[in-house]
Amino acid sequence: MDIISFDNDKLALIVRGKINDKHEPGLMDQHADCILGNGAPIGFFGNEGAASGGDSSVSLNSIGMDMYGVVYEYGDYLRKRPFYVDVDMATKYHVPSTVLIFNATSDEVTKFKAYWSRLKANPGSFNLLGGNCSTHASASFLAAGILKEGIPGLDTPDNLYRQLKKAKPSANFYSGYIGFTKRGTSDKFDLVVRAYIK
Amino acid sequence: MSNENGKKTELVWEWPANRSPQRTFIVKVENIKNYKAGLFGLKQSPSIASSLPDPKYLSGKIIAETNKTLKGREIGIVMPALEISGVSTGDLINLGLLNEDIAICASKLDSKLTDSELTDLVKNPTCKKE
Repeated sequence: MDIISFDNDKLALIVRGKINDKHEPGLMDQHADCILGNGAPIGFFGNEGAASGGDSSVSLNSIGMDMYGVVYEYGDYLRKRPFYVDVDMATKYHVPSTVLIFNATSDEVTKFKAYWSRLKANPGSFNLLGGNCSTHASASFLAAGILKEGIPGLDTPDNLYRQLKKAKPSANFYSGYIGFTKRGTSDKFDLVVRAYIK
Repeated sequence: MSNENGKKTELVWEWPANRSPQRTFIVKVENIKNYKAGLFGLKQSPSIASSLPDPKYLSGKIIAETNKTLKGREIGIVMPALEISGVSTGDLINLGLLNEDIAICASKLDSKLTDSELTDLVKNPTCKKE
């Protein structure tokens, strides 16, 4: 089991459903989350409802469009996606992830967190095409100055992973079942990675 | 949340996350089927908040409950298959509830439980497996 500590010196992208660095998960099998400088997981999801308030939103929801956006933090994941933050639940539910971790400056860490705080306060709408989890993960790396342009091609978690890997060639990647453990009474988390069993 | 004629209560599934149930529904299971996840299964994308792993739609009737007000009510809930493994039509399950409609745990009950044992169960809501 690998344990990676975050001390406001790193940032990371998580691709759910990606079993290793080379794996290309199907479009409907992947989701992007991020890890803040303190090691806390954060991510953007679509919630049912009419984000635009228009009459057609209910039917648009059936194709993953015009949904309400929502940002999940650690507590939300525990209640609604425990297999994203608890390594035992990830193992039980057989949910592997690949995490790309790279060193970040204090300024990058601060700007990255600020983006997610703004998004949490005003998440806007979610659209599977062009306004999804990877769109906002990408925007957070842009806001922090880590990336210079949007995701090449479709906004997918794996396309963002490959773009980020090129931009940060010294980044480390970890694959397996992952979880987050709070470090004592601080607001910091350690990332735990357990080997994936096919 | 109820359907149009007010006779079916749709529950929402969450995990306990260190929370304890406030209320217990003892439900007789009437049907378990695969959950339809919208056009092309798009609502089953992991980026959709309501998506669950291997979702099943369980429906049944409340035969006992903590507040007694919903006894006899039909319920429906989309749940991960792993949380109701081994449960089939005709079985009794114990659903732990938070607020009005959030179910945070489920366990299969012994079908031979007496009325008095069921009454004890609903008086003391718990997520503990029986």
